[in-house]
Amino acid sequence: MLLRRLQYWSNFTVVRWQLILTALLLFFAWRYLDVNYGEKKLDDPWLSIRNYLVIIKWMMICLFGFSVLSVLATWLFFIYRKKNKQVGLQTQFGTGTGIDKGAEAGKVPLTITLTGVLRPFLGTVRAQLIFSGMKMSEPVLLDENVYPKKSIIRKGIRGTGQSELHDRGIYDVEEVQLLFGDMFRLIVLPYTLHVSQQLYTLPQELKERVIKAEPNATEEQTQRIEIPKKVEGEYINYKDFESGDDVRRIVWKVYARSGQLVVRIPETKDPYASHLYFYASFYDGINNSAESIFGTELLNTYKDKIRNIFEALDKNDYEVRIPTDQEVQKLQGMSEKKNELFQITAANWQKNMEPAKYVSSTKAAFVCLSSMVPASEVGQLLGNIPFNVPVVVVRLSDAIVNPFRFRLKNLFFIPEKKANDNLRQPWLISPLRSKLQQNEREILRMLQQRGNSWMISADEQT
Amino acid sequence: MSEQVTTRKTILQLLFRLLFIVVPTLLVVYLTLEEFNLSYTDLDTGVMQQALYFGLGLTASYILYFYRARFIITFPILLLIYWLLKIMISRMPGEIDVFKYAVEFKLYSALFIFGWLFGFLLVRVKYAYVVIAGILAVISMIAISDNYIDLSFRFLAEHFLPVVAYLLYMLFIAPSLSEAVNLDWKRSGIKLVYAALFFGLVFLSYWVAYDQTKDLRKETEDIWAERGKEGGKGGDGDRKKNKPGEKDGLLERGRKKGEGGKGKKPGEEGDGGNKPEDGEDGYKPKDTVKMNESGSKSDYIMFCAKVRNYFPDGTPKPLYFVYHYLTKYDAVKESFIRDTAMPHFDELRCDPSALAMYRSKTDSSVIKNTMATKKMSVITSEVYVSSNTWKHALLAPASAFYCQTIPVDSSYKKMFRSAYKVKSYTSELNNAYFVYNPSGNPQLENYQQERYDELRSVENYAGTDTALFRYYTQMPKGPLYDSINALSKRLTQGALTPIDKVIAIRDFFLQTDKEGNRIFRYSLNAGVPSDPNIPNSSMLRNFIFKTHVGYCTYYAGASLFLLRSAGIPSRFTTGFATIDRSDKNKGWYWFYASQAHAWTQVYFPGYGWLDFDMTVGNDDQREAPRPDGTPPLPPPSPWLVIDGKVEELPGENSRLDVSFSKLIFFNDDYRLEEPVTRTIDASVCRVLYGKKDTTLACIQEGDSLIIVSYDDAAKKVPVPDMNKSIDEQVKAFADPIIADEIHIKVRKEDRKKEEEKKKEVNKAEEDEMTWGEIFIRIGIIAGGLIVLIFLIPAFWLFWLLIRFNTAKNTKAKADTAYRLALYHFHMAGVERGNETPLQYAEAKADPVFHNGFAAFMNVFLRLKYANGQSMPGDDQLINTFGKSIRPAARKKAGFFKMILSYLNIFKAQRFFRRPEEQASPEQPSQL
Repeated sequence: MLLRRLQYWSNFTVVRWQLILTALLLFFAWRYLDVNYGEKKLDDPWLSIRNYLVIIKWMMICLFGFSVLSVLATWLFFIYRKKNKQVGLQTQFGTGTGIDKGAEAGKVPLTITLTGVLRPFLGTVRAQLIFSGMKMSEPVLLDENVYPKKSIIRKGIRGTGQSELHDRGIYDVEEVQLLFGDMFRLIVLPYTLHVSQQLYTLPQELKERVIKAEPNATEEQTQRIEIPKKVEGEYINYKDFESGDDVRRIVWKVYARSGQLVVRIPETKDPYASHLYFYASFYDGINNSAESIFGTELLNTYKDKIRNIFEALDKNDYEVRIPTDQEVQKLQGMSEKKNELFQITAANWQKNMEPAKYVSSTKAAFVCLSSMVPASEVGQLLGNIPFNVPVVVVRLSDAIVNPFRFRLKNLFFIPEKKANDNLRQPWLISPLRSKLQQNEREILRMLQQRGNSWMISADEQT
Repeated sequence: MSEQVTTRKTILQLLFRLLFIVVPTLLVVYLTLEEFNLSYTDLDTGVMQQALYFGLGLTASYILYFYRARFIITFPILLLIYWLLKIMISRMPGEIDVFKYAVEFKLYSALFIFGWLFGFLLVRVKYAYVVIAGILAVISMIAISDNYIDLSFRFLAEHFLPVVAYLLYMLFIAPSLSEAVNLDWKRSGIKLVYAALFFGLVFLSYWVAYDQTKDLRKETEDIWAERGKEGGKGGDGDRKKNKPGEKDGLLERGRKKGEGGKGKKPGEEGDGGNKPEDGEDGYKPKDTVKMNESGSKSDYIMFCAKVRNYFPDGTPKPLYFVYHYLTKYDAVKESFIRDTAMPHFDELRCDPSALAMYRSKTDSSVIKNTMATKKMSVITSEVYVSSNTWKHALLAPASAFYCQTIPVDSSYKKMFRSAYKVKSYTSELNNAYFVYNPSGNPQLENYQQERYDELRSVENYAGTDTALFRYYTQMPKGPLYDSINALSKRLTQGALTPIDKVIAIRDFFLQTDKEGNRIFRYSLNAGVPSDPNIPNSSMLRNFIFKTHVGYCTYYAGASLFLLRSAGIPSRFTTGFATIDRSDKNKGWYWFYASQAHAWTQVYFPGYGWLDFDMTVGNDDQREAPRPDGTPPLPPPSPWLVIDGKVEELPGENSRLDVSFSKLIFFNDDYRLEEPVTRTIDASVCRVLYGKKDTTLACIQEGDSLIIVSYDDAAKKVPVPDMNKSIDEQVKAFADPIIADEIHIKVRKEDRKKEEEKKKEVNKAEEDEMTWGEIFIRIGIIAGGLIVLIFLIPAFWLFWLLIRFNTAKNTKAKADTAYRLALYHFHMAGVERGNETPLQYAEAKADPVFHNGFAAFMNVFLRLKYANGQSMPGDDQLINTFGKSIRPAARKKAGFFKMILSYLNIFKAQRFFRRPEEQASPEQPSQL
C-alpha cells in the first residue's frame, strides 16, 4: 500500500527522471569542460568548442523552453476547459467500441477518450486510471485523434494501451489522472479528474478444449437428449387428485388412511433438455482469511479454471448456465454468455453455502469444486448427485508455481514476468498449501472411488 | 488472440523499434566513428566496415535482448566465442597475415562487443540513451579537440550537432517507445512525421541560437579563418568542403571577405599594388611551428624563393619575408592595424599580378624612406608563388623597391602560378637568425655579437625625425599599458643604448624559473585573438603577467609595447619566417603556410629598420614537415623584351613584322622616340596567349605582343652602349630579331568574356546562401506549396471540365458531368449527406440549382446500368446539363463566393473524404 501511495504521489512531482538525468549529464559535461579547459587553460580549440557549446546551450534552452511552455499552455487550457465543463472523458477495457467494458485479466487493453483537450506541441497526454485502494493502471498514451464525421477538426484524443490488471473482478475507477508531458518528458503536469465508473476483467481464457456434458434441466422442450433424464413430481411421488386425472392412479391406501384423494405420479423420463447447468462452487472451508494474498491469487486461478471449463462446456451447443452460490451484482445489457462470465469474475470465496446445499442434484450437468472445499463436504456432495454428472475438482495447491522449477529455455531467456511471481517462495512454505495438499489427497481418493470425476491441476503447464 | 498473430505483432514491434532506435543510434555512431578515425589515424581505416561490425553487434543484441535473453548468460558466451576465435587466429600459419588478421579481429570484435553492449543498454536499461549520448558526445569532443586544424562552426556543427540531435531525439522518442505502446503502421507513420517535425524544430532552434550568438560566431570564425586553409586536414577531404572563394589560399580569402586591402583588380595595369586603406589586409599571421605539432600532413606550400644573400664564405644568409607593417593602434580592436599614412612609408606598393610579363615597377622612395645608409645592400630575390597565395600579395625581404614579373618554366606551372623578381634594400645586419639560438654555430654567434657591437654605436634617438619617433613610440593609454610601461622601465633600467634595451627585453622573454625551466612558453593554444589576429589588451595582460604562454603575435605584440615603452621606435611586422632547411639548393627557401609569422622591427638611426623576433623557440620545433622541393628552373634572362603590335602576320617562314616603341633592354625600360617596325623570327619560339601555350597561327592582325629574346651565345646579342641613345642601339639590333617567347596580350573581346565569366563566378560565390537566405527560400517553397495546396480544389474542377469537354462518348461525358455536378454543387454549399446521388439530386440540388440534375441522373443511371445504351436526346440532355452546372452554381452562390469556396480546402476535403464510421457510438460523458 505504501508503494502504491508513493507511486500515486510521484505523479505530482512534475519533474521526471529524464530531466534529472539530462540535467546531470549536461551539468557534469559542462563542469568537466570548465574545470579542465576553463578560463585558465583557455586555448583556442577549446575556446572554439566552448563557443560552439554556448550555441548548443542556447539551442537547448530554446527547445526546452518551448517544450515546457507548450505543455504549460495546454495544461492551463485544459484547466480552463474543465472549469467551463467542456471536457469529456470515456474509459473502457478492451478495444471494442460497444458497451462491452470488460476484458480478460492480465494485460488488459485500455481505451481512453478525452475531448476538449489540446496536446502539447509534439508532447504527450497520458491518462492513468486510479482504482479503489490506490491501485493504478499503467498510463495510456492518448496518441490518436478523434474526428467528427466529415470534419478534419479534431474532436478529441484517444489512446489505447495495455495495463497489467491481474485480479479478475470488478475495478472501481475513482480518478483519472491526466499527465501532460512535454516533448522531452522533462516535466509532466498532472491533473486529476474524479470519476465514478465500474470496469471489470474476465478470467483468462486458457487452452481451448471441449468437455462432453449432457444437460439435465429444461425450461423449454427444444432439445432432445440422448438419455432421457428422470423427472420428479411434486410431493415426491404423490399429488392431489384433480379432475382429469386417471382414476386408476388414485392411491386408495392413502384415501383409506386419511380420506384424501391423491394420485401417484410415476417417475418419468423426459427426453428434452435445453440448459446445461454448470455448478461452480466458491466454497472455502479451509482458508480462513479469504482476503489474504494467497486467497486472491487462488481465486484468480480458480476463476480462470471455471471459465475454461465453461468455455469447453459451451462448445456442446447447449446454453450453459452457472447458478451462483453467492449474491453478485448484475450488469445490464450484457449477452447471456458475458453475463455468466461476469458472474464468475465477480464471485468471491464464500463460507455460507456448502456445495451439497448449492448443487441441485436434478439440474446439475457438471460440477466444479476447488480443493478449498474440505474432503468431507466433497464426500457429501458426491453422495447427493447422480453418477452421470461429472465432477471436477481444481487442485489449487499448485496454483502458484514452484520457484525452483527448471526450464532450459529460462536459463537463456528471462521468462515473462507474472503478477504472482512474488508469491512463489512464500507459497512454498505456506501452511495453507500443505493443508490444501492434504485435503486434495483425500478428495482424490474419493473421486477415484466414484469415477466420472477428475482432479485437475491449476497449473496450466503441468 | 492466436499465437501466430502475437508473434507477428511482436516482430512488428521489434522492426519499428529497430527503425526508431537502432537505426538512428547506428547512424550517429557511424558519424562519431568517422570523426574519431579521422582524428586518430588520418587514414582511411574503413569506417564503413567498422560501423558494419558495430551495427551487427548492436542489432543482434537488440533483437536478442528484446526477446528477453539473459545478459548474464549470453554475454559471457559472446566473450567465450571471442576468446576462442582469438586463439584460433593466433594459431594460424603465417606471420604477417596473422598479425593483420589479429589486429583486424581485435578492432572489429571490440566494435562488435561495444555494439552489443549498446544494444543491451538500449533494450534493457531505462534512460540508457542519455548515457550513450553522453559517451558519444565525449568521444566526439575528444575527436574534435584533437583536430587542431579546423574549428570553424561548420566543422563543429558537422561533427558535434549529430550527437546533440541524437540526444534530443532519443529524449523525444524513447519514452514513447518504452511504454507499452503497440506500434502499428499508422502509429509509426505518425511517429515518423513527428520525428520530422521534431528535427525541423531542432534545426530552427539551432538557427535561432546560431543567429543570436553572432559575437561568438565571429570569434570562432576567426579561428577558422586563421586555420582555414592551413588546416585543411587530410588535404583534399576537407579542402573540398571549403567555400570556392577560399580555395585560392589564405591571403586571397581574406581579401575576398572584403576585409583585405582594396587592391586593384587583377588585370588592371598601372601602379598595381594593394592599396592599403583601412590597414587590414585579410592576412592572418601564423606561426612556424603550428603544423609541426599536429597537422604536418596538411601543411602546404605558399611560395618558394631564391634569395641571393650570402655570408662572405658563401653560406646562405636567409631573410624574413615581409608582407605588411602594422603600425597604427586601433582602440576599438585593441590591436595594431596597417596604416598607409605612416611616416616614411617604406612598403613597395605593387601588385605583381597586375604587371605584364617582364614588366617591372620600381619605387625609389622606398630606399629613401628606409632612412638607412649604413651597412645596406641590395638583395635580389626570385619568388615563385603557388596558387595557395593571394596573387596580389607582394612578399619580399624587407624594403623591396623593385619588382619584375618573370615567367615560370612550363614544367613548374602546376606548382607555381606566377613568379616575380624583387630587389630589396636591406641592412647587412638583418638576418633570419635573429635574437635567439645561434645554436652553437660560431659563425652565427660571431655575427650576432658583431651586430650588437655595431648597433651599440647608436646611443640614442637624438636627431631622429620627431614625427617618426613620436609615431613609432606611441602607446595607448590605460592601466595595462601603464603596467607594461613600468615593466619596461624596470627591465631596461641598466641598459644604456637602444640595442641593450632590446636585449634586456629579449632577456625578459628568455628568463627561467628556479628549476631552469623557461617562464615564457610557446603555445598555439593561447587563445585566439580576433581580427587581425593580434591579441587584444586582456589577452596581452594575461600573456605578459599571468600565463606567459602564447605564439608569435603574442610575443610580437608584447615586445612592441615593451620596446615602445622603453622609447624605442618599433613596429609590428607580418610575413613569413624563413627556414633554411636544405644544403642542396643554396639560397632557395621554401615557405609553407605554417611559416606565416609576426615579429617586431626596431628602428636604429642610420641602420634603418631591423628585424627582432622575440618569439621564443618551441621545444617541439622540428624541421618543416615537407622536404623542400626542387627549385624551379630559373628563366633565362632576356636581353630584349619588346612591347609591340603586329604589323604583318607570320608567313611560311614564321617571320612577322612588329612595330614597337616600348622595350626592355637588359632589364632597363626604354621608350623610343619614334616607333619602329622590325622583323621577328618566330621559328623557334614559344607562343602564349594569356597563360596558355598556342601557335603562331593564333596571332591576329593588330594584336599586342610581348616579344622576348634570351641572352644566349647562339644569338648576336648587342652589348649595351651607354653612350648611344636607345633608338640608335635598336637600329643596330640584328635583323631579324630571334624571338624565344611571344606573349599575345589577351584581346579585348576575350578579356570581356573572361571578366564576365569571372563576374559569374563571383556572383555564384555571392549567391552562396546564408542561413537567412536558406530560410527565406524554404519559406518561399513552403509558401508555394501552401498556395498549391489551396489551389488543388480549383485544379480538380479544371480537370473535370477538361475531361467533360474532351469526353469521347456519351457515357464518358455523362460520367464526367455527374462527377462535375456532385463536386461543383458540393463546393457551392449544397453538400451531400448519406442519401444516394439520385436522392441528393431530387431533394437537395434541384430545388436550389434548378438545372435538371434529377432528370440527368435518370439518364446517367440508365446509361451506367443498362450496358451503356443511349437513347436519342440523351446526348443533348447531358450536354445541356453539363454546361449548366457552373452557371447554375454561380447564380446561386455568386462568382466571388464560388472563388472563395474553391480556396476552401477543408470543404473540398469533405467531398473527397469517405465518411468515417463513428469510432465510438457512446458520447463521452461530460465532466
